[in-house]
Amino acid sequence: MDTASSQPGDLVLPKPIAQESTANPQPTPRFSGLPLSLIQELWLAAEAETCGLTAEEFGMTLASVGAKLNYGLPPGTLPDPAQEAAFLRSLRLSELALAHSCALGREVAWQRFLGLYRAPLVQAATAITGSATLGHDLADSLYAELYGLRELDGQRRSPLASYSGRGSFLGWLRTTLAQRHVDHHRRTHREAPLDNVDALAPIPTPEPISAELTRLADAVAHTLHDLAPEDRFLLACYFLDRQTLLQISQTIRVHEATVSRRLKRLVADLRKHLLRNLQSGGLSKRAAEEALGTDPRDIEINLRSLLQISQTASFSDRTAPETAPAPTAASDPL
Amino acid sequence: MSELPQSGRHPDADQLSAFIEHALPEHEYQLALAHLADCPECRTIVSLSLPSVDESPVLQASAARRSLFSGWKFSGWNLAWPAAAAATFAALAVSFVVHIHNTATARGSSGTAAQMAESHAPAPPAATERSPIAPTANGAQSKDAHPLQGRNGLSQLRPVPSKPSAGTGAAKPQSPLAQTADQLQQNPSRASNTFMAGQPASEATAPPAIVGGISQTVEVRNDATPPAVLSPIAQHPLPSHLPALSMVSYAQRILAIDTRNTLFFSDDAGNHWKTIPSPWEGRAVKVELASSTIPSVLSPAAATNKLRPASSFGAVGGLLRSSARATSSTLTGTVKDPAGAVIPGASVVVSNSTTMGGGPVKTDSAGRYVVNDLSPGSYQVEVQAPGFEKRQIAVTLTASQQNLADFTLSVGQLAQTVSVEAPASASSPVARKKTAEPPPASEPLTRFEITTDTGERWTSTDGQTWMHR
Repeated sequence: MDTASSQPGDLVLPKPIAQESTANPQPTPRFSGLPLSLIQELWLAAEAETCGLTAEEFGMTLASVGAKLNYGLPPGTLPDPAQEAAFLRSLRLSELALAHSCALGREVAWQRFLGLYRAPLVQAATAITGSATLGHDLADSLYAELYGLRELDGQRRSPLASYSGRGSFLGWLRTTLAQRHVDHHRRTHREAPLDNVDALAPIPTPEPISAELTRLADAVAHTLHDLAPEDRFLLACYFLDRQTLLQISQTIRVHEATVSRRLKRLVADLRKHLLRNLQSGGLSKRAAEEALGTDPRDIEINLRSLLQISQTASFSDRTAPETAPAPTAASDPL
Repeated sequence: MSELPQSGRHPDADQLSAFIEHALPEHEYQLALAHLADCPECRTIVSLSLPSVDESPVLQASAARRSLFSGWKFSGWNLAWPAAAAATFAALAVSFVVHIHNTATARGSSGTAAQMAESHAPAPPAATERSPIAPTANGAQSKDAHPLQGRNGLSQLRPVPSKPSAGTGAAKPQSPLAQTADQLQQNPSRASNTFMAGQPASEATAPPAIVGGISQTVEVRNDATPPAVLSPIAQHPLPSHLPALSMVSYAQRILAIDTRNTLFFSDDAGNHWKTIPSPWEGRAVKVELASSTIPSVLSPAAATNKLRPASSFGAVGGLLRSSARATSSTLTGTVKDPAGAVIPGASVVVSNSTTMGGGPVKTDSAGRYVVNDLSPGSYQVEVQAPGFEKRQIAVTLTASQQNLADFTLSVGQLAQTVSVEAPASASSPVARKKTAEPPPASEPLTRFEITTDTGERWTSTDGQTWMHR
């Protein structure tokens, strides 16, 4: 959405026309596909005027957000006016107005933004980077980006325009900070000095893997592949990212005891599924149990490659020393 | 830096932040979850985006508060109001408890006063205590209903005098007094000395403060300061139905002066009284115990134990009792007949010349008796059994020793006195039989003493015949 050229007061919304008779109802006046009365209502509710945002601009913003997200409905579903209104009313309208007014470069909005979010933003950046200096640097760089110093096709682009108002504005800022921090780490991580690059070592010849180990590896891969996304998310967070139960519980909004129980039950189910897969592969129950007792170091299984589609290492792994190998079956207690 | 956050197939910051806050619709939440399960980068971003503990969850409120308390941090601010509320509540609770406590004390309820008095032993010595009461000429209670408050920190221990009846001016007996009377009757060996003076008949009298069951004497001047007279025997109804001005007890004998300066004597712990004619001129205002003759064979500890005027049991009474208990002796023995057979049920009374306490105890089926908690000193042990002659011996007990004294009672023989001396080094006493030896001097070591308003002092050993001193 590019509304940087819009100025307040360019478009005066026509007042709703009262229905003269029920026999010949007048169509509801609409702007950008939304009823004008709804826009007026939401504009007043958002106090967008205090941010220097006109009702027209706010209506365009609402229409853009609604169209982008299909008013909260699954793709392919056509929303009715009531669903549209309900979705728009569920947004954080005042924060949405502030963000988009800042994206338009309104001074009053920026003053308000700085007054409200300056300190929390620096605090969040410090918490993300773990350093006050890096936190200030990160926050300052985000300010520059949010203010729209970057131009595309001669127009100022601000990431603030992508804020939809579904979550809190501070949460959006915090997530954007985290993204920038990851991007910065990834970019600087690639700038490794050449001195540290050793000569290529000869590729070790892979030893022949026994049929039983191959069968076990296939069973593990098949079992993990059949897991539900949420189960894979739990396993990946706990065993790959080494997140704590508290972190996981904060992410999925359940109690950490629930996370612990679910993980315990998940590991037990994995073992059952592994046994079943091994037995379906031709092993007896006793042989399957013996196969599960195989030293994990003998199995060439990369659980990371099985648990996640993206083959890039996690951010936490990349911050670890170079000598730390990617977790395999030997190190992951699955 | 990427042009847009995590463009491509990664969810953008809006989606991730909405995912963290569970603001996504269900279908989009599942998509995001499926992506996060496979994407370590996005999981990392989500993990980093979780709000830290020290961040304020309510931005608007925090900004408004910072404008007022700019120097406060969120964490401290969050704790400030609960801490202030807790401190205020605690202060209110303490003040309420103190108020209730003072109110209960001011009411002078007997139960509360007795409990307080019992729980705050020992009290200061009576000789040094001068507690005013608020008397008025017409017997009305003073406006200062609690004059003892704020003195020596003991004000709350003392009951407020009950309002006297208009007709007689006699104070009603208080529960602490009744309790003391019971103690006195149960343990008549306890002596008490109480002095109440300078109070007209119509004046209110203060109930006594009971400290460890021992009465405390408070000397009261006949001046503007009201007397706080604390008498354990004041509950004994005197024949005149007037409050006791001064009262003293020794064993079962009680000598009392009422507010009309009439002297009464009781030899059965206050059950029966008789009026003693006063040979002195003027009015008796004070009765007390006096002792001038203490046998030289007694140790100071024994002398202390023998003579127990209440005035000596003020602040140090408890210490003396505990000290006596630590050095107490035990007397045991067997009572037999001339044939050597044990005599069960024989009565053994251990007493010295003053306390007359220690027994009687009965011998058991083996003819044995045990008398505990005897202070070191000389005692008379008297044994008698039906059909046998009474036998009396003198023993000298040492501290922390178990002294042995066996008796052989005979029928129809004259009384014999056996002196048993137990040296400190001996494990068992050595008895020397002294036939027909008279008992040690039975001169009363304690006598009553009366002080009149003219300054005369009269003494009496039995409380009935008085001699000018």
